[in-house]
Amino acid sequence: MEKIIVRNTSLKIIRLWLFTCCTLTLVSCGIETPQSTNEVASMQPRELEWSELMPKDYDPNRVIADVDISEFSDSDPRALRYSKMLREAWSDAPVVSQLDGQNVKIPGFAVPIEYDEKNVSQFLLVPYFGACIHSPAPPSNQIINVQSGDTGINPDSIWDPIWVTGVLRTERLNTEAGDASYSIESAVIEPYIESTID
Amino acid sequence: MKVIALVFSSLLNRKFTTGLTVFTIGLSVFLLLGVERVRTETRHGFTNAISATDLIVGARSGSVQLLLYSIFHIGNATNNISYDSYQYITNMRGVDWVIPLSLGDSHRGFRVVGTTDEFFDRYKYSRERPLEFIHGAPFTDIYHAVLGAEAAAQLGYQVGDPLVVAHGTGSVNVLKHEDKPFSVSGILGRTGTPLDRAVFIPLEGITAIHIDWSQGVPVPSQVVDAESVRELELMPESVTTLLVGLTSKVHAFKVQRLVNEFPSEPLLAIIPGIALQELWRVMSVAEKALIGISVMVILVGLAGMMTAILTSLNERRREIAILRSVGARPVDIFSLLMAESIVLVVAGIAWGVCILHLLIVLFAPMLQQSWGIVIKAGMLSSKEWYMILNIIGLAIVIGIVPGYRAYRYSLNDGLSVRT
Repeated sequence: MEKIIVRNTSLKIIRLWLFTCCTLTLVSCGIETPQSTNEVASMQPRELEWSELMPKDYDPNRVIADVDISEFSDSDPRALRYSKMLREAWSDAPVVSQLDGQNVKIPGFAVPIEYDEKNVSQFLLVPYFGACIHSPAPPSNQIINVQSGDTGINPDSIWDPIWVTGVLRTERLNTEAGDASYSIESAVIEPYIESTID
Repeated sequence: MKVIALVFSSLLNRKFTTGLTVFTIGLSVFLLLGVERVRTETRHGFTNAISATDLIVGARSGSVQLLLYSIFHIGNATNNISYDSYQYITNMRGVDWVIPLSLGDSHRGFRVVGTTDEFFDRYKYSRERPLEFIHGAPFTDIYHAVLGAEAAAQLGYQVGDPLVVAHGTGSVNVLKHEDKPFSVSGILGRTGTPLDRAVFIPLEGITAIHIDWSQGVPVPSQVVDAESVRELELMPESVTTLLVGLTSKVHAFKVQRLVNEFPSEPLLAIIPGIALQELWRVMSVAEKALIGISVMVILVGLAGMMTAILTSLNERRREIAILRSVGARPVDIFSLLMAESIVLVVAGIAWGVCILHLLIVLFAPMLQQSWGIVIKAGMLSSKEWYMILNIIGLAIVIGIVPGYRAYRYSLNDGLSVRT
């Protein structure tokens, strides 16, 4: 008789425990969703294309418009001079100041600038992988200086593409040299998953 | 809790076997945690060695090689950079500051680095921490030397002590620059980076000690004494590597490309963060292999424990019969054996963690002196706790086997053992 009572009690305890676990799991899931809907409601980020960071009338190839560079071999000093002129033109790349202050979402690859072994806190966002080895390098209006906010990047994952969401700023750094660049502070970072649905 | 008391008294009855099992599991846990800790601390040390530097420039070799010899003093440069290139880069648009480093000499096994006094203001490590002097000051004379904390500690030098630079980077060198002794002007505070094991002298000092040398050896007919050297031109013809800071970080790629394509000299510019990740990629194969082996060792240890419990079961049939006779159900016998596995593994883990801390306390100073790796005997990290929980989970799974066998014994034997 006692054994049956004990067994029923232990079964009741197990049921109660399972019920508590399920409830706690659901509650913790539930707590997360209201927060994210709040964020979405306040500032909907606009998905940005890299080409939008370049002013529409900007043509860096203008400097060599009247030269047919396909005639030159790569080591021809004239080719080097023209590619240098091109590069100078790229480096004076102007920014689109209308984008200043907009909440944007843009995909790209991270080049770490400030980091420790657990987290990359500041990086340059570039449009393609291997911006440091591919020729030519992206012009300064195709690079964003990002400070990651609470979500950082694991240094081992810098080879993977990411979505960066945050308020875009256009800074005029060195007015005499015409340097200006884009930056984002307190960025939210998510992995970029290629969707196969088109 | 009565179950735990029973488990303990049962285990203590077989002290020798229990002790061996706990010891074996402890060793395997120590191996896994030790490998993980060394890996993490090495990464931490390497990653924090340099900060706030946008580019590192050297003669053209490979990016990982340049990073290793310029910052970590591992390996050597293939060639030097001409002084003209150094000046050109300093004046390039977008460049804010340049610190030259000249490598190739040593002092009693510690690398001698020729640089400018700007180095001590500009160099940052570990998230923009600046260098600090605990004794003395940066150099004010061409024959001054600044020591890193570890170099000063091991050599026992104080400010004002003399120091003779040797030619070459071996731990013992035959060719020395005895005619031009230096004196210690300052000692840096501990940074936990390769700088601790370095000796810094001015660029002019490097030129001075080599001024009467030709092709790597002193030429007796051309000897110039230490004081007369001061009259001569002491800017070097070449330097080994440059640390570059830019006016804006977005110029990093542009300047890097210009340096890489520099027409008058083959140069290489690297972004330290990228080069470091490339280094980790190379090392990740070895790291994964080490962790894989450690996990195998844990599995072997747990399998050994399971074997030990299983073989002991035959002798414990009387024990099980006694327990049944006082009212234990077969399911209780099962949970008793499961609890035994868990208790053994938890004890083994505790023992392994003790060995880990003990050996860290004993060997960390030696590791720091020889390799510059700092390993702290601190609390377990979250990753280490995660590993431990997984091991306990495995123990629960493995405990099912002897538990089930004991359950079957208790059913078959009933209240008396037929052996």
